Amino acid sequence: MREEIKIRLLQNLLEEVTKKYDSILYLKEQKLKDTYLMAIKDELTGLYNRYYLKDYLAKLIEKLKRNQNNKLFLIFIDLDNFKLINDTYGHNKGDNVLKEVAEILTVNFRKYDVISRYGGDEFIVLLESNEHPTKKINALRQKIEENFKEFNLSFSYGISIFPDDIEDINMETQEIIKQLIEIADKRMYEDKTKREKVI
Amino acid sequence: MKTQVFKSQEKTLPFALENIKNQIDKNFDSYDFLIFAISPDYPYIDINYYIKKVFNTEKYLGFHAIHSFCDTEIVEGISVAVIKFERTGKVEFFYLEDIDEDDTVIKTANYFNSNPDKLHIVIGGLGNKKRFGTFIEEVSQFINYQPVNNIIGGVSSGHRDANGEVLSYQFVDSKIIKNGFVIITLSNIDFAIDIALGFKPYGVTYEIKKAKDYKLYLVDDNRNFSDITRSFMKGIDNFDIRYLWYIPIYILDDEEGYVATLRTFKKVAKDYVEFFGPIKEGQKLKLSFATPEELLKENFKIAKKVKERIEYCEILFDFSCTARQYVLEERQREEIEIYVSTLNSNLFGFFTFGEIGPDKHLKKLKFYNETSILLAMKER
Repeated sequence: MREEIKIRLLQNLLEEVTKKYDSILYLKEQKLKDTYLMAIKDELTGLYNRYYLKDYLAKLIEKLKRNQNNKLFLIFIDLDNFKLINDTYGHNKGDNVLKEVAEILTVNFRKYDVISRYGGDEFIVLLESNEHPTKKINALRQKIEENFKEFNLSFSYGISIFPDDIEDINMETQEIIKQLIEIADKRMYEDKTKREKVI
Repeated sequence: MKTQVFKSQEKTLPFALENIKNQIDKNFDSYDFLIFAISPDYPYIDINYYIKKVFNTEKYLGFHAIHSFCDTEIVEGISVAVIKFERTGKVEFFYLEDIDEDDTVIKTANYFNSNPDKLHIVIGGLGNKKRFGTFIEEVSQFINYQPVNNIIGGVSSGHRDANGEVLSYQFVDSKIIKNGFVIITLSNIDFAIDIALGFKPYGVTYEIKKAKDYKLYLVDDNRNFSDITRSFMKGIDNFDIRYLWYIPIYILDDEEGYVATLRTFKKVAKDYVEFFGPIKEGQKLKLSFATPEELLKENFKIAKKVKERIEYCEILFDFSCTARQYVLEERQREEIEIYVSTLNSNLFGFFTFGEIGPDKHLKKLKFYNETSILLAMKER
C-alpha cells in the first residue's frame, strides 16, 4: 500500500517537474525572442532598425552574387517638412506621424520586402525584383501627401540598384552596402533639391 | 555518571509510574534527576501529582511524546531516563511558561549567554501565537558566544484531545507548561552531537515569494504552492497529510544549516501550505525524497562520527522527527539499534515535532524537520 502511494507521489512529482521544466523552457524561448526583436526592431515604429537592415542586406547581396536573375532596389526615403511638424506641434505629434508613415509603408510594400527606419525621418526599403519601383514609389508619395495634407508632408527618395550601380560585384560585401546606401542617399538629395526648386 | 532508561506501557498513569519505580529501585539507591517522556494518552492533569506521589521527588522533567525510546525499543507509554552523577556533574532546570510574552526571547538568550560552557537540552511545545521554531530562531539572533554547539533539543509531540488542545506540554516544578519550554542544563559533562538527514533534493527550484511564520503561500510566477502540493496528491485515495512526509521541501539557499533545512508538511489549505517550521520569503526550495535505506545509512554515518569524537559515552539521546520515523516505516527501530550498537550505551529519546540544533558553522541555532539529532554524554 505504502509502496503504491510512494510511486504515485513520485509520478506526480515528476509530472510537476516536467510541467515546470516546460514552462521554464517556454519562458526562456519567449525571452530570447523578445530580446531578438528588441535588437532588430525600431522601438517607435516597429520597423526594422539599421542594424538588421545591414545584416539582411549583406545576406541578400551574397545571394544575388550567386544568382543574378533578380535585382535589388535600395530605396532611400527622407521625409520633407517633418522638422516643421516637430517644431510646430511638438515631438509627440512628430512621433505619431512617423508611426503612421511606417504603417503606410508597411501596407504598400510586400510582406517580404524589408522596410527599415534608418534614422530620424529616414527610411530604407529593400526590394528584390525585376521591375523598377519608380511608379510604385511615386504612387506612395501621393498617398503620403494626401494623408498628411494639413502638414504639407511629403518625401524625397533615391534608388540604388544591385548589381547595376556597382562596378565590381566581387568587392567586399560591406563595401557594396556602403556604396549602395551612398548612391541612394545622393540620388535622394538630388530629388529633394529638384523638388525644392519646383516649389 | 550512572544512567539507565526504563519504560512502562501500563494502561493507567499510576500503574505505569509504579511499574517504573519498581524497576528503578532494583537498580538505583538514589538518583539526581529523572526525565519522563509521557504518552499524551495519559491524563496530563494528573502527571505532576503522580510523579511526586510515586517518586517523592521534585528533581524531574516530564514532557509529552507520542512515542519514546528506551534503549532499542519504541515505547507508546512512558520512558524514563535516570541520571545519577558520580563525579562532578550537576543539573539545573530553566523554564519559561509563555513564549508569547515580550521578554521571553531576551530572557532565554541571556540564560544561554550566562552559561556558554554547559550543555543545554531544550524541550519545547508547539507554541501558540508564536511558533516554537520561530522563537528558537529569534533567540539565536541574541546568542553572543561561539561556538554554539551546546544547545540541542526537540519539540514535544502530542495529539489533539477532545477539547481541541494539542497535547505537547512539559511538566516541571509542579507546573504544566502549555506554551513554553524547559531547558535541562548539565555542567561538567563531555558530549558530542550530530544531525542525520538522508533526504536528497530532486526536480526544479522554486523561489518563495510569499510566506509568513510556518505558512507558504506563493512561489515564483505567483503560483499558489497549495495548488502545486495538491497536484502531488492526485490519484491517491483517502489522502492522509502524512503521505507528503515522504517528500519534504528542501530549503536550498540556507547554507548555514548543519544539514539542509527540511520542512515537513502539516496542512494543505486553500491559499497556503503549512509546515512544521519557519518559512522565509526569498528562500529557494526543491522537493526531496529518501528511502528508509538512505535515512538509516545517514544514521550510521553520524553514529560513527559521534563515536570518533567522544570515544565512549554513558547515555545517548535521540531526538527523532515523527515524520522521519513515518518514512522509516517498519524499520523505525533500526535507527536506535544503530545508535545503541555503534556507541554501546543506553538510549533515551522521543518522536519530535521539530528538532533544535546548531547551524553548520556553529554560530547560530537552527530549527530542523525530519532529522534525527544524536547526543552522546559522559560525566567529567
